[in-house]
Amino acid sequence: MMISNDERKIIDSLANDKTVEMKSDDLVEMLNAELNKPESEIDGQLVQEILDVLEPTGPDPAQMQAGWKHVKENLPKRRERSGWRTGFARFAAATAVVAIVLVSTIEDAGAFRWTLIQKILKPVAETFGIIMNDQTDTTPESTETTLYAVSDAPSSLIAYAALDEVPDIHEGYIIRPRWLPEGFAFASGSRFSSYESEIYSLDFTQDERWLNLNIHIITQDSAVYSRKFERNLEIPIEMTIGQHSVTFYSNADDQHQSAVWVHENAHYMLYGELTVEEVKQFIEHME
Amino acid sequence: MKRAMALILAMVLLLCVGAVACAESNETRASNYFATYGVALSKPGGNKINMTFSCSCAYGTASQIGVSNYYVQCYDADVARWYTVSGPHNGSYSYNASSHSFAKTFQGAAGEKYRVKCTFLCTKNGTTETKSYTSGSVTLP
Repeated sequence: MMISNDERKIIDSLANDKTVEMKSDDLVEMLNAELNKPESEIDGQLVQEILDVLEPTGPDPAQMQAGWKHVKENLPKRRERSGWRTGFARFAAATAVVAIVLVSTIEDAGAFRWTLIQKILKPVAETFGIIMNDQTDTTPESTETTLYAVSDAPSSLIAYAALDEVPDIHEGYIIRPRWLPEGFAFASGSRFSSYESEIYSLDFTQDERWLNLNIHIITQDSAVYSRKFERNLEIPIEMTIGQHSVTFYSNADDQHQSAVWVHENAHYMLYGELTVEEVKQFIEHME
Repeated sequence: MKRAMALILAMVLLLCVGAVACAESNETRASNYFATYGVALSKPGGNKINMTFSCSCAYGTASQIGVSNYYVQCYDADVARWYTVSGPHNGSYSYNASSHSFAKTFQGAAGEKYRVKCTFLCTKNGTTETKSYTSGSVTLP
């Protein structure tokens, strides 16, 4: 049996009109009236539409309140904090985050050479003592005309495996010792050459005793050269050994002796576990 | 009487401290690590400065010896002050050696005076000693 248009209008208005309170009782009464009819006279479509209107769309207010109460009771308990602790914790966390971001940014900027970021963060890095990678690079890429650029200078290094390989004389200066204390043998040697310097370093050993001869030849008259000597010394002694004026240092606590002398543009330095007489004899033979 | 004794003892104590201080100042301070170190500066031309660093250790070999860092300074005659124009740069080392040398070239400006400041380093038996060093100066023509 088809529902009448009036009945349809009533149902639609009740379903769609939000301003009218839903009288579900009327619809239930209508539904019961329809269901009480003989089975052959029941309008299935009307019944279905009434049921659709009556279908609950959600919990009623009482059920909602009960549900929220249950949820609230089962929430994890949160410890109440005093106001100042919460504020301090938040400040500390924020500071830590900022610091981590800054440090990581600084390091990333160095790693990836973000020049602009490096320039911006350089004052911050210096304040906290963070060395940015570009600050310790050995040599920036530069051309010959780049002011204040530093680059490797032409130089060479030769290692000597035997005393026979060591030159006897270099540009008039004696290099290879003519006399060694008894028992001493050549251990190692090297020659470093640069624009203004020829530096020889020769090591000799006898069991646990050790002797080093260091010769620094300045090949450019205009070069500026200075050295510091760090030795345990008591009273420096100026003595003439052969044709050399020698400054002699003696450490009475042990057998360590030091002697330095200059011959024209060559600076000789002798260090080792020798007696005074052995030092004198060594130097005398270096003429 | 007690006050006088306390005063006398205090003065004796002060004198003892002064004597120790004098002894300390007279004792020569030196290194058990380094024998000698220094830098040679030269002018190879083209407003360049050649810098040769060298150092040697005392009593045998060092596990590490060389220069940890260096920088170049320029002299400002207007204010009579040195200021850094390049660096700090990494130096270089030798390992299990008695000496170490290396050379660098610096591009300067004509008419300026330059010098080098660096830190020499020597490690023996697990202990490291460093020495600060300031070179002489050169003036580019």
